[in-house]
Amino acid sequence: MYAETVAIPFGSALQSSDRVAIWLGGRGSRSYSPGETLSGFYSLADVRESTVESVEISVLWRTEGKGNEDVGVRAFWRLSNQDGDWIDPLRPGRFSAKLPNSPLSYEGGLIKIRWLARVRAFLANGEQLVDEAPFRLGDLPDMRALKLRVDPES
Amino acid sequence: MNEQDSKFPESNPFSTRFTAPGKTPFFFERSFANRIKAMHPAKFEEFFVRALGKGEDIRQSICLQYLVDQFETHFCRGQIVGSHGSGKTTLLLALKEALLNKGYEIFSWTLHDNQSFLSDQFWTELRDFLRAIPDFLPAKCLLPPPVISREEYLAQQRERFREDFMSPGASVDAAGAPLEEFNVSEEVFAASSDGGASSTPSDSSRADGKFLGFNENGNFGLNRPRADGSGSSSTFEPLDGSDPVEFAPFPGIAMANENVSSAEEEPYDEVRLDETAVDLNTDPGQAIAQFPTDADVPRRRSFFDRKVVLFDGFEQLSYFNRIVLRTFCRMNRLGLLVTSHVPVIGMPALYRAAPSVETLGLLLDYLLDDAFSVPEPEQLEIILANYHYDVRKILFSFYDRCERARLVPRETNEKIVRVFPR
Repeated sequence: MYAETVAIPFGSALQSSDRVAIWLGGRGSRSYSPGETLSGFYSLADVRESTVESVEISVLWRTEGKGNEDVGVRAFWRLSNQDGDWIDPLRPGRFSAKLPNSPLSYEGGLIKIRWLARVRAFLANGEQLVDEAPFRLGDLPDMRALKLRVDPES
Repeated sequence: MNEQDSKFPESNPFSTRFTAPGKTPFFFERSFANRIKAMHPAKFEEFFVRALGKGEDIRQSICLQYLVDQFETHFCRGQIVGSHGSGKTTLLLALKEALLNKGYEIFSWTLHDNQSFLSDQFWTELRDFLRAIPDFLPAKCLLPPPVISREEYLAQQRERFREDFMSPGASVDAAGAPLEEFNVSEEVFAASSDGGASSTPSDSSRADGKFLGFNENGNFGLNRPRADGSGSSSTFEPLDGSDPVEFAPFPGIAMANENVSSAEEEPYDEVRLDETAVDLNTDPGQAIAQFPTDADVPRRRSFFDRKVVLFDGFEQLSYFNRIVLRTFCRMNRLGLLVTSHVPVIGMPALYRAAPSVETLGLLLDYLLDDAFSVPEPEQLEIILANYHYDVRKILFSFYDRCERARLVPRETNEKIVRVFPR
């Protein structure tokens, strides 16, 4: 059982906002197989159309742990008013991307590989609205649980 | 955040994603802010008002502004001293942010793995940084000198000038435009560049005004030939009869930038050390009257052009490389801010980073959410002592504790930080 703590510490620059949300389609478990197509949509709330300068949607993985953080971007879209894209906050935007074969999601003691879909909205006043939706790629077991099963005393 | 996120494991709040330098603010002790208030009440009030306007943490903002002020007061020189894991790099990055907000241009470099020398990559990137600055004269002045004798260097320069201006193939440039041709005689060139073989360099620099040195006004600067024709002459007459062209004897050295060329009417180009410097050519009494009486004169000097080198891990450099870097920064009018484990002689210590119970408590309070409780000060004191006041090791140990606590029920999870020390 995992502790139900907030994923992002207080004061983080990428603090999640209620004014933007990203949703992943498909099964409710949000566990995908390599090569499967990930689809979803994002929505903005309480945001005027004129205040949104650009919206970025990305599907990426990142490492966490004791070492340096590593990031890999699988798919990236950017909609910008300056480029002539039409951003309507009232309509949800859709996206889809084919997932790669690697790296698979991994939960280890020293390092973790996390997959997530992220939407980031840039407002005219410089504010950023961010929301992330984590998902699993592959079905690797939690290595810490395996270790406990072998040696429960450790 | 979606409600489905609760099914996914949360991030460890002590992973480097959240604790790496620059990800967390540097927490100053309350006593440091009080010391600023006691020693510099006027500045403290000024910084306080600015901090109110920024909407940031007031104490951190005041302390950072004070350190930037001290850095400028000491002619953009400074060092942050502290042991392993005391927060030197975090403070350096916080100061970098503050300097960038003040309009400084920053070149950052970090040493790892006991590197004791300045690598080629460092010099390459520093050179690119200097070249990116428009009209940055000293960068051109202080290119590494050729490892040849002075006579050989002058001979090479003569040959180069002949190739550039007198070769038949050089009459048309790449764009097809005809180039100007010059009559360059040996006598003129020798008079303009050598200054006589019998004279010593110091004598020639004084007499002909061709080298870096002190001029008649007592200012250190780049001495160029006089505009009125006195002294050495380095003008060359084009063959087409147009106006004589004046060029400097050393093309890589004496090319003046716009700032310097604005002082063409003066007998010498001077690198002014002080924007508010009085003109010493005027009446002495008037000059004394004009001299600023403000006690804060050093801070107003503009010798350093808001370009700063931030060097993390200065103590790892060898003694020779330290001198090279400091000399290079001084001669190129670059500020230098370093971190070191031990104080470096000759550089003012801006701050001595030392973790305390107060700062560690603030850091843990910043990283942890309401589900975890920060240990009591007595426990923090013991933790600091057990880990030799190395906050990095303390955070790693908390990371391991959190990882072990992930798979246990919630009730036990809340006590994970209370079992220290082991």
